[in-house]
Parts: sequence; C-alpha cells; structure tokens
Amino acid sequence: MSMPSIANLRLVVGTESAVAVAVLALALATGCGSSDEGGGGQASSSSSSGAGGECGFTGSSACSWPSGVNFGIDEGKTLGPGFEWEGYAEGCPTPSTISIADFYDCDGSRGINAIYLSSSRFNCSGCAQESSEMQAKIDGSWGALGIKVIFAIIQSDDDGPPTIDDVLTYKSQYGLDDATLIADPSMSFLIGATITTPHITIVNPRNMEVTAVQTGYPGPYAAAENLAQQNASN
Amino acid sequence: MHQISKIRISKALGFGSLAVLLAVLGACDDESTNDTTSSTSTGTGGSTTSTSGTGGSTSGTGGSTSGCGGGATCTPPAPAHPGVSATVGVVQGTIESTEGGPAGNIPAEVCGTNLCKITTVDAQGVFNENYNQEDNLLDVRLLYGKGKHWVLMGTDMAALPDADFGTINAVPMPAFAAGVPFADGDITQNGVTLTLETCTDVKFPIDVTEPSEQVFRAVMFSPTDGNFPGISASFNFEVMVALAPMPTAICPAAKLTIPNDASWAANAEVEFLLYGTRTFQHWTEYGTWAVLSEGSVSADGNTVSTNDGEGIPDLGLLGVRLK
Repeated sequence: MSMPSIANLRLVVGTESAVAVAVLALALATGCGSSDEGGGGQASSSSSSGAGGECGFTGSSACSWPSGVNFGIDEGKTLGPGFEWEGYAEGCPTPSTISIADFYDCDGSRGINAIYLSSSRFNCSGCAQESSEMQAKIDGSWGALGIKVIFAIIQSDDDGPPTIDDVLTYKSQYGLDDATLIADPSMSFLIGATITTPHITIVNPRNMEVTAVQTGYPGPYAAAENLAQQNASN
Repeated sequence: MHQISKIRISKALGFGSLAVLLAVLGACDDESTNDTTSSTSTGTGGSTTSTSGTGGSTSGTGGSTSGCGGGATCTPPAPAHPGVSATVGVVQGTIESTEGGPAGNIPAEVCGTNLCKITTVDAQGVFNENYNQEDNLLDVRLLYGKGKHWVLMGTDMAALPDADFGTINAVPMPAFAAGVPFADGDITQNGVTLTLETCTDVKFPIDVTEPSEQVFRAVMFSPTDGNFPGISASFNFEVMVALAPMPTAICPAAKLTIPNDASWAANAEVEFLLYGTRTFQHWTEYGTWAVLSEGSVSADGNTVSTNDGEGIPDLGLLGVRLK
C-alpha cells in the first residue's frame, strides 16, 4: 500500500509581535534523497520571531512516508503519519496544528536525529522532574545532537482532557521553550489499560520507527543520544 | 487589615521579557518544579508576593524587585529517597469521607518517585485496579485527595504487590470560596493562621492555576477521626493540620498558629511534621514524615505556634505531636 506523501502546510507565527510569515505550499514528495532545503517542492515554513529566533519547524521531509511496515506505537513498529494535535511548536508563542510528520527527516537534511516523546501530565512526580530538567538538556547537548523533544500532555490540571491552555501552562511553568508541547487527550502513545506516566517513546526520524519505549523517570536519555549520534554520523 | 505590600508580576516563562523573568527568579531560589511559579500574575497562574526584610527559614540574597529588596532564598534539603523498588498488582479499597458517605471520584494514584499510575475511584468511592506488576516503582505510595477538594494524603503499600486497603477515609477541604488570599501578615482560615513576612514568595503547584484556587485554606482533624493508613499511631500525632494549596512553597517560611485542640499544657514543646509528596526540591523524603519545625503552646494555653526562625516552608499535611 502506498502511503501518502508528506505535504506540510504550516503557519508559524513569531513571538510577541506575532509575525506570521511563510506559508509555503508544496508539491508532492517523490522518494527519499533530495533535500527540501531551499526547494525541492516540499512544504517549508518557518518564521523568524520578532526577537530574531526561529519558531516552529523548518522544511519538511522530502520522502514519502514509509510503507510496507508495521504501523504502531510499540517498539519496533513505525508511527503512522496520521498523528496530529494542537500544540505549541518549539519556540512558538502561539498554538498551531502539529503533525508527527513535522518530525520526519528521512535523509537528515533537517537536522533531526532523534525524537524524544514524553507522554506527561500534571500531578505526576516523574513527569515533573523530567520536565523541569529538559530545557537544560536541550540547551546542552541535545540541541546540538538534533534531538527533538515532544511533550504530549494527556490530562488537564483537573485530570480531564487537556486544553491548549493546559499545554501553555505546562510549557511555561517548566520553561520548555525549545520543546514541542501538544494536547493529547487521546493519549496517543500510551500502551495498555492503565495510565502510567511519564511514558517515553523514542522514534528514529529517518524511518519513524519506534526504537525504545519506557515508563518512568529518568527516561531513556542514553537511547535518544545514541540514536542521534548514530544518525548524525551516517 | 493586612495588605499585600509588594506584588510582582510575571509573564509566562519563556515568552515574557527577560527583565520580568529575572525579577521572578530573583526573589527565591525556586527553580522550576512541579509548581506553578510566579507572582500574582498574568498568564498561567501562580503568584508570588515578596517581602523585604528578613527572617524566615533561610536567608540569602535574591533579586531586587519592586522594592522588595533582597529576597530570601529557600533551598530545600532534598533528602535522598529510600529508593525501594517494587511492582504493583491489584490495588483495591473504598474511600469514605470523614463527614460521611463515599469520597466519590476522589483523585487517586499509585505513585512512586519515578512514575505514577492513575487509580480510578468510582462514585461510591471504590477502587480496584490491576497494574499487572508491569513496572518497577520506587518508593511507591497510594496518594489520594490531591489537595483541592480533599486533603492530599498518602500511605505505604506494605502488602505489595497486591494491596487491599479496605475502607479508608479522606478529609474534605474547605470550599475555595472560603479561602483567604495570600498577603503579608496574618492570614487566617478555619481558625488556622499563617503569618507571612513582607515580600514572601508564594509558589503554587502547577495545577493550581485559577486565582480563585490560589487562596489559603486549612482544616484540622484528629488522627482518630477515621482510618488513615498513612498516619500510624506510632507517630504519636494528636493533631493533623492540612494547609492548601498543597504543595505550595513559602519563602521565607511562615509562622503557623493553630488552636490548641489537643489541650496540651501551656508552654509545652511540640513538633510539626510534614508528609512528603514532592520528589525533588523537597523538604521531606517522599512518602515519609519529617520534622519541619518545632513549636510550643502559648503561655495562656490557647494556641500552638511554630518557633520563631523556623516555620512552614511548604504547605501540605502536617502532623503535630508533643516533643
């Protein structure tokens, strides 16, 4: 079965001045191998914030989504392309629609070498500890390694479905400026009948395969770093 | 009347101006935690007031903000947790209110220092979860109540992997509407008084974002008012005091004064112990009791207060006993 090409269309808004910039449309992807930077017909959107920083995702994958694989959220399976949420892209002060496809980097041209996805919630001690130290990790080696961090907030502060305001609260209070945070009421990545958090899923952005799954703090930091180093060296 | 002498406004971390951020950070050494930081504030909640001056649990120099001068710094000792690893199977029981009837739908979870598992309590207060021993939890406890509508309480799970708690009790908190805003000086709710110095930083938990919830509430009860498995008779507590929002960091520590419900003798010396629910930046090991402050009964025998220079740096469930 042929999976759809990735065709990103993203509006990214700058910081406080709310500079909305580029929305590029795109062409259909054709196979792996060509970088979309500067062209290639792929969706590419980014905007510079008023403060000079970039906000959101730049570029998109030049590849079709993997096909002929087992889709799923367990280790060894491949994430499907249909995951989409409302949330805050890294560095962005305004919410937008975020797709898992935003993190697909089949050829490494976007500099994404590992995806660290933590399903988290309020009132979870392990989540709090992980969240409180994550920005420092990004500022440290993780940013340079190309590890993209996503926090999927699965509950509101009152234990109901999370709202975009809950996501902002979480992002703000832990200072997660350079992580992506999404409202995930469907608990997209949790496995099993009980809700256990934090639940961490490591994904290889080259093929969107789940390479590690773990519950609890501390997360599989080494697994993310090893994957990123391996991808960076290839 | 008391007034808030200095209120600092902070924007959400990350998007606000650097100046404001620095201002917030300056007053108290309280890096991001599971708390909603901040000062009576815009955005995502939380508030902080600050005092000039001195006193409190610890001293130090902080940032200078809005005339508050150097704020106190409050660095929790963060004692190491025991680190006992266990798996959890079936956890069951029934939770009833100390005021009668079921504690229906009360928030609950099986929680260690590394991860938490939600425990669903039905409208009749019944819970029955099978966690299939699928994860290792460190220092696992059953936590219930959350501190909003019910006192946040915790208990060991001695009979792991399966734990049948039978019928246990939860204590209702006063309604938010009865709460008292945090302000300099004495704030009294339900007969319990906190005395905040000028420019005290008040750091609410991250899930307490509504201003209507960012108010002081208190309730006192006896350990014999119900079956509280986390309050062992061996602790010799005679009075329990729940202070909300819980947990809320108070810097510098606040003096606490409660009625002498235990009828202790005038000038008797007492201890205030906190039940630890934090896993980092904490004053007490997770899931254990530890002394936060010593205190004494007043000369007229009517009240019990923490000692000057000590006090309460973290709101939560306190047990009080004779020293």
